[in-house]
Amino acid sequence: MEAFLKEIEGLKIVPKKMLKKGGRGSYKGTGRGDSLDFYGHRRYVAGDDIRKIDWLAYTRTEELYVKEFTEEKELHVNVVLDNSASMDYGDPNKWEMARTLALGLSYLTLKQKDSLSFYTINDDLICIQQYMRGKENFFNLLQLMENAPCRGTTVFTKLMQLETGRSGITFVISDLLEKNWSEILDYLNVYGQEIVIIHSLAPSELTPNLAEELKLIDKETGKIRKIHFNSTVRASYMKKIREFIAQNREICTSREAQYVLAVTDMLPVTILARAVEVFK
Amino acid sequence: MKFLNPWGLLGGLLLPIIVLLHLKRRQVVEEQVPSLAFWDEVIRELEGTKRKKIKKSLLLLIQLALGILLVLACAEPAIFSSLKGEEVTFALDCSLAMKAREGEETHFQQAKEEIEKFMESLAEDTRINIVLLKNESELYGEKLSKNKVRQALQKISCTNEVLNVEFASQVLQTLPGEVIIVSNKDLQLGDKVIQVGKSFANLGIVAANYDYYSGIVLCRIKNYSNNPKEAVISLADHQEKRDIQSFKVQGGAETDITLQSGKDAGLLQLKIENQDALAEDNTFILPLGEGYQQKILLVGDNFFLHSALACNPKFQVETREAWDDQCLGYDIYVINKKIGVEKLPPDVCALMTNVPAQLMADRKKGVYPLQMTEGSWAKHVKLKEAFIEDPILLKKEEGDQVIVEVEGKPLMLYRVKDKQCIVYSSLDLSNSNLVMLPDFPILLDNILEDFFMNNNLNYGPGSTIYPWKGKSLELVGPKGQKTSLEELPVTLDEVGLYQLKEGETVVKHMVVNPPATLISDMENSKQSEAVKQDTGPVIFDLQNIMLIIVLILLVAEWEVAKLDL
Repeated sequence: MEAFLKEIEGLKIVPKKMLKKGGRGSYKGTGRGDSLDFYGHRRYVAGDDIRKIDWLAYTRTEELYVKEFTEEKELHVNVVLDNSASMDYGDPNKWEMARTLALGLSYLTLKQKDSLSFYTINDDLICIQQYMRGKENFFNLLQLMENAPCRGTTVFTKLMQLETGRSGITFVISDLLEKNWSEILDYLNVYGQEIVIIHSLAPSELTPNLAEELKLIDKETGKIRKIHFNSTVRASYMKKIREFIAQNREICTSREAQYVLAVTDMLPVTILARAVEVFK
Repeated sequence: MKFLNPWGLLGGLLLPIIVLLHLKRRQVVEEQVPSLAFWDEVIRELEGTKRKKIKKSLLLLIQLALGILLVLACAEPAIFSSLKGEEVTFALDCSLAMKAREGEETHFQQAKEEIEKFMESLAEDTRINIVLLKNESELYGEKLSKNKVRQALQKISCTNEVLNVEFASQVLQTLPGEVIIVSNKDLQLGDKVIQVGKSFANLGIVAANYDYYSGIVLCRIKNYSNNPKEAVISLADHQEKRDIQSFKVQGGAETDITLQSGKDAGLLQLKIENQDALAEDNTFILPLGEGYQQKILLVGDNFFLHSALACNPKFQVETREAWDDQCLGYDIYVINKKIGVEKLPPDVCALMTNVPAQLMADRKKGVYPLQMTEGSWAKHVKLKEAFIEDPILLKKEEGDQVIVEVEGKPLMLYRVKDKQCIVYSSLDLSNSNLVMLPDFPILLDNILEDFFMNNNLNYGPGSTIYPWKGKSLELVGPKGQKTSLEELPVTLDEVGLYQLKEGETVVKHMVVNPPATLISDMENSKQSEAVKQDTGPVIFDLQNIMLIIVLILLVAEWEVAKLDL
């Protein structure tokens, strides 16, 4: 973990949208405030602070104008980590990769002194830590996540319980195997959240190399299917997976969310860089 | 139907692997997946598992049939007609002399062609035996068809060995039917002789020796042809000093010539410079000086023995006080200590001057003259005026050869037991004036020389070198070829200087010179791989048919496998 944190040291989470809600911080908000970023002039109205009157403009126009500056808001980052049973699959393991990425994002947030809320989701949404600030809290989070188990199925509608009182970025790290996961994008969009979906997949999910006679067991439901695996089945399966990825990308694009495919044999730092868009 | 290569049937043992692989492929493997959703969709798209099971069984059957056919094809099945005709034996001379070149071909190649020509006159159902005549003649093929003989002839090659006529005669006597000898020599062994080679225009060095005192090399040249020939013989030493002489050798005669060499000569090489039929006997090597001396170990020091041995420049003498593990690796041992014969190596050549008690007969009182018996060790030894006081007589056993005796009773005798060659001597050197006579070193030299001549210390083409226990040795041949001598014995095929090396250290030099005669009655030789008895001419070769069926089945298997994909 230490080596990984060193690798991502240079990355930075920066919101693309102006922040609407939340406390005072160092990112551009939608309102007017006391920052150093000049916004414009407006005519003086009774009740305005006379200290804000631009006297130089008065000498030229003989009219009273006040200077306006942009507001600065605090960035709030939500990290939502899928810990359903299906995440505990593959070599390298999807859960290991997802947890590393989630902790990496948390570290970046805490390092740049922004506010962080960390959730895990399966049958329920569990808040691990809320409104954390400062790097000193990272060790605590690391310990909490060290032995976190994977179980149950993913119910994305539980994300409706997510605290949306502050504007910011929500990172969702999941294998997206629940059918109606797109609904949650609509919900988060309404609350002005920037959304980054990190889609975690194992290489063996993309290109399966299995025995001929198979008894497949669903990791989440325990259901069984017997199947004769051959090259035709393999080709058909791979086609389905490709379609699934394309469909997920389309869902994200249409909702202005960012989609990042995280195959577990990729370097975590590469995935994280894509997620915070340093390459763009 | 019979199989020409029945060992190929052993491949059948691999057939269960095909079945096992099928069973393994059919074994259901449990696999956990993150979601069945995709698989359910795939299953819906692709259906028809019943058909697949039928195809799988069919695939197994085809693959088993393929395996069985391949195994049978490897065993070379064939239908034969039985040979019931007369039996003929070709005795093909494979000895060194057959390498003689006449025009473009060697006599050996001519002999093969003669056999093929002769076979044309034989009936198709003739059963043909092939005997290879060499040092240890062997029955190479028995009851072969003509085709098989043609195939066998291609594999047979000529050796560097000397023809042992007596052994060849014993082999040929066991065979029925007409025996046809094919050779370039006039051998009266069979019913018919096919003589190859119009002439044997060859000069060969049959022996050479070196006089350490005068530095003269004595060389014996033989002219094998009937016409007198002018021979040019050269002598070169390690410093490239040369002597060259030309002289005439009468047809069928041997001539001795002398050549002058330096006294510090190392490795002397004699060479007949004329081009003749056989190149193999044109070179003779005389190993002299340090590094090539015969190594003699004197166990238990004795002034007289040491002086007599050390004055001979052919020997390199070392002395040890007792027998131990360091005593191995010498050519000859002179043992002046009480040591049991069982302690000595199994192939030792030794002179034992401290005779065990069980070999002693009785002690004669008084002074008696010593007498030599007839034999190679009596050369230049007269023993006039040689006396001994109170001699101890030895018990003579059957097979023992007496060397020195007193009034007909042995004092020194030569005994060969298994591979051990031992000279026992009860001659008390302190009680005899023999040590003061010039006869003593000559007698010792004769005895040791006899060891070298008769006990595999003299190497010729076909001599065998056995591995040394506990040593990892490498044999380097005259052309630099290297052979490991760790487990298997190695045959010295070529004429020239061999080196036995342990790592980079030369342990022993071995010189292989041309044989003194091209026909002899002794010595061993290696055996070649023999052809087994043939069942008759093949009238139907099933191997090709099976291979064609295999190809058809492969296509069928591919088609069925494609359906399963």
